Amino acid sequence: MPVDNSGGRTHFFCALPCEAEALIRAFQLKEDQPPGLFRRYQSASGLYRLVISGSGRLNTAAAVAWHHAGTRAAPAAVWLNIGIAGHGRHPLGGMYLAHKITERQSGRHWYPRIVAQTNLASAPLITLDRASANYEEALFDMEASGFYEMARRAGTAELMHCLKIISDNAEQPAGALNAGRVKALIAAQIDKIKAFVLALQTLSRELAVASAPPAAYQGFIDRWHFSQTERVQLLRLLRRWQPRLPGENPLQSVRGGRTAREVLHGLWQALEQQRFKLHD
Amino acid sequence: MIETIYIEQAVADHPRTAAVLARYPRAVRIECERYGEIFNRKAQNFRLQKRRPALILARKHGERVLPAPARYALGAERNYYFSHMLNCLYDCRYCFLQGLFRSAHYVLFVNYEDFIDDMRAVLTAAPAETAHFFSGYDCDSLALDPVSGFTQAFLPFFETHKQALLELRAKSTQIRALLKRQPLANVIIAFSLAPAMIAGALEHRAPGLGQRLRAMLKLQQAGWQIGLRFDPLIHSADFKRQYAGLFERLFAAVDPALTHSVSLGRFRLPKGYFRRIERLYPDEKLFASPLTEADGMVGYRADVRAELLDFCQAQIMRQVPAEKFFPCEAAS
Repeated sequence: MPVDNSGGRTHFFCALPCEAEALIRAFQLKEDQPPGLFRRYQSASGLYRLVISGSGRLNTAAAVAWHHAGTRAAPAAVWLNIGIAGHGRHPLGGMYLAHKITERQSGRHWYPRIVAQTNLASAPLITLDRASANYEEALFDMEASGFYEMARRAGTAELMHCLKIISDNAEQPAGALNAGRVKALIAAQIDKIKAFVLALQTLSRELAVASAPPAAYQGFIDRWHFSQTERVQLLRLLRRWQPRLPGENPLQSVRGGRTAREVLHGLWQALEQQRFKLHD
Repeated sequence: MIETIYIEQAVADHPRTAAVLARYPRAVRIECERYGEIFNRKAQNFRLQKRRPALILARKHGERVLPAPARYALGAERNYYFSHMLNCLYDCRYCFLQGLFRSAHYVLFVNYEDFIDDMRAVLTAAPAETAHFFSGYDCDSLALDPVSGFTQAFLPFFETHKQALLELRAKSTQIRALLKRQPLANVIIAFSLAPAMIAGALEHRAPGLGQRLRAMLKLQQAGWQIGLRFDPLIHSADFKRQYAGLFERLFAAVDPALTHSVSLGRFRLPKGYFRRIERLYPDEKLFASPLTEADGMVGYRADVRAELLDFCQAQIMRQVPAEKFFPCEAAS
């Protein structure tokens, strides 16, 4: 399966169906049929996908790996773990980005890079193997480290984040929590989630454009046979072509070429004959 | 604007850390064990991080004062460079830092006292010999000076060690701290310069040529020695007109007596760095220049390079005595 290079594709991971429900509704997702190892949903355009991993960091890591293997998501894709978390003192319903993820079991840390334009507050997050009522000055969950460790193998650090909504704190522990309450907590933040997704998609598209081959590239590949090395040379020449001869079609300049080698030489010659002016 | 500051545990109680944090009371503070946990990790994107870089406060371990590349030399036998900071506030498209680091965050090593101890050791090893120390290899020496207190911390050492010379390489016009103190004969403020059109195309977020020129003149008026660094020289079809205009403007304005030295540098990057930067900015016009690859380096084609160097060298030598001119390499 080829790598999906389009920008803006967004992959959500939630532990529980009740955490996913508001997202499924907001992004108009439909469940894949037949179901796979994990329940997966996607939008009609394929821009949004959501996987329900089940609780715990191992389940989440497995879900990310399974999903990536099945979709070949591009390095420019957006990866988000969204769910509820506890905190020592933050009020219920508040939403936070994790800026440091600590896995309590192993003591390992990860530092998500927040470069997207957002007003969301951030906080450290501790991933536990079991729910705990010993609240600290940090977010608590059971999935983030598993998500982040696996997602960073697939994507770009600046485009993967954990968004957590406070469901319990020292004064209002998790005991009273139920699925309906979780759904309501996530639904109340859906506009902010959408805004953050849009900010990440802007970055994602910038990356995708930067890594995409020049528009003329496919026309060359369709017309002549290029070896892998020659394809790299072709890409470099076409990338130089765009800023130097923006109004000219490179295919026109080498239409008489019989072989890939002749075509590459023709492009190189056309570029070399051009006086190079750096500024307008 | 710094919105996030990572703080290594080892420097959490350092007074300079406290001073920097006081400058950014609203920044999010995140503790880390070592700056390498954040800086230069895999899967980071320099281009994206450059939109919103964080500041990392850290301790510099290991070798802090290193032998300088030969092209930095200004006549002394013993040349060293040091980097109290990694990465730059500016975003110059020709800069090797984009290829060297995966991360665009700024790392500020706050243990200046260790750098100074290392410099002292260099001088003690050969007390009768002059040693030159270069700052600005991995950062702009002055851009963060109001926050980092870099010059305030290092200049007293050079005030009392006259056999040492310090070059502060910069594009920044943050010169207030320098203007507040008496000039030192063994400290040069060396400005990297390019014609305005070229700087406008490539030196994003850096002060314009006019601003740099005004800063240079203020420094000279206060008695500081300046250096002029045309590094790297950048080719364009009209480079002769561009550089001739730049030299004319500069040499008409600066005081030759307080111009310590003039040097040239050519545009070249290790092949691996170049490929990485090219991937980050594939539409950048600079990378469509007449470049070639040789000995693991990417630079201008020999004929283009020779034309650039010959022209600029000839222009400069009309204005600057030979003993003050340090071309990066022999012109053709």
